[in-house]
Amino acid sequence: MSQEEVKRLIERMNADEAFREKVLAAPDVAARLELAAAEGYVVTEEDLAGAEGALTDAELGRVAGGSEMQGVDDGGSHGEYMPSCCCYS
Amino acid sequence: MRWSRYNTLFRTEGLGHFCYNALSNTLIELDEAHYGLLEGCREGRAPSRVEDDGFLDLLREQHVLVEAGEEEDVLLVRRHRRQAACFDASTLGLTICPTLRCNFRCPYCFEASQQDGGFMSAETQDRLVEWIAEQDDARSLSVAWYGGEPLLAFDTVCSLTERFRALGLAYAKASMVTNGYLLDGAKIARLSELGIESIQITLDGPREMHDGRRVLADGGPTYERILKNVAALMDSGWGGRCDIRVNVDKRNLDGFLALRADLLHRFEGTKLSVYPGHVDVLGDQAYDGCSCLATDEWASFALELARRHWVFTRGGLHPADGADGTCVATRRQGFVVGPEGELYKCWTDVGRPSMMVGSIHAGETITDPVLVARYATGVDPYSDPRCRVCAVLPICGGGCAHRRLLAKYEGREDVDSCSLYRTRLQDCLESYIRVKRSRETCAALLRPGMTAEERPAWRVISPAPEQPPAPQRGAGRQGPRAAERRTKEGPCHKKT
Repeated sequence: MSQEEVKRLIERMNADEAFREKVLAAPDVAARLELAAAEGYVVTEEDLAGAEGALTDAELGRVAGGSEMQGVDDGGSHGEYMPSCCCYS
Repeated sequence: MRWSRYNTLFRTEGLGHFCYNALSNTLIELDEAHYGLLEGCREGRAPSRVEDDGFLDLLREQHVLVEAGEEEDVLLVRRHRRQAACFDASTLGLTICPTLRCNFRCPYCFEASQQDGGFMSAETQDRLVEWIAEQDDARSLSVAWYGGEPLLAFDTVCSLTERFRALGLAYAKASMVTNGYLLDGAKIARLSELGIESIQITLDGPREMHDGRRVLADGGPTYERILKNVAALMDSGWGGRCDIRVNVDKRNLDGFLALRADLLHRFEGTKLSVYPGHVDVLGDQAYDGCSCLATDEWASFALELARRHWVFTRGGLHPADGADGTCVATRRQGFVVGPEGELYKCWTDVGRPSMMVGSIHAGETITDPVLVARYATGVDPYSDPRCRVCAVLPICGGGCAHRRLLAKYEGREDVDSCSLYRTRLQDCLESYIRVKRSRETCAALLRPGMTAEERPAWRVISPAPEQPPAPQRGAGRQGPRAAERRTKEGPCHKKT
């Protein structure tokens, strides 16, 4: 649930400039999270850090697993043959 | 200078203005004035004079504006890279099936010989080791254990690994694709000495959903035992990565997120990932093809996961740079080895006599050079007129070689080998931008020093490549690789 809360908060901040400015105007993380909580977004600093890590991985393409957006077995780095497109085992 | 055919210029409500170039794989965020300038270029007008802020230099460097012949030169370099990768003999990449037998009967399995396959004999094992030693150009050996179910022949995996290690080749990064049912404590304890660094195990949803699909030969359930084995694996101290693949089609689409959430919670803090795999019926298996998601439906599923749930596929949402379109099937020194020493080029060919390309027992290893050539050269997208004019060729790399083979040489008009970028590129880029925006907002929240930065007039927002390409000499003109070597994140111009 915590990631969903973070997601709700971040999406509101991305869409609502006034809300974003209000939250970011607070001097420290604790104060910002208090403001967010007052608007119904209950998240912790740890939740935020976890979400930031996941989003960074996604942004940089470091998500593990299959190469499914590509639609091709990229085989990982050269010489590594672990395919991802077709192995149903 | 003219507008590149590899450009995608778009604006999106709530996100802003962007230009993406597939040749350099670069996404640029723009303010309205710079977007307008590019609109003019797209319509054939010469770029109007703008303040000398480096923007026009960027457009040239990233191939947004190109000279006559420049795009062809860059494609030529990419084609050469693909060929070099295909014909590189320094790494022997083998997918080894010590048996084609399987203890499961999954309805969508493409393997034709689950029930009648034998095990790799001592003679074939001896010959395999000899044959590898005969590959004079190989300096390293990469092995993926596959089947059938490779754990049915675990002794063979152990004895062959020991003998491979004695060959004097660099041997690292072995992997295994298994259904996980036989992965007991005794086998787990040996994974590290076998050099197995990653294991792929499939679960097709929560218990009931999984047990309705991935059943034992006698129809019995498998979920509980696999989960118990995964728990033992992640608790064992083995240092490798476990990827849980969930084969997704219309029948179990709804179960993916619940399973993922459960597994990530249960195995929090371990190197376990859960990702959706696309079930695709290409062969003669009896599975109902109507249950499969078409490429576009698959794209919608993946994009929806990202948008609604922040669940991402590997490689993220930004197109991969340098997708040269090579795999075990297209590489000269890549083979799938069957239990009788028969050789195939693609995993999907396993067990199909008509798709055998040779045998390690044959005097001349390759007995079907035509099929080898079709995989390596015949399906080369750079010689395909349709691909050559496609705006996403530089990032798609031609798609799946097996699918291209079916379409080109077997006349399978139902097989679409194109990547989803052909029709959904902008959707992917918008999802990427949303992720980046959200990450930046997280960072701003967590770091009070980073408050409300002013958006620059333009900035490159593609992720920096993790591994810069090797330097080369003598690239012509601006040098097609010059742009590829640039750090993507960074160039920008503040509004004045």
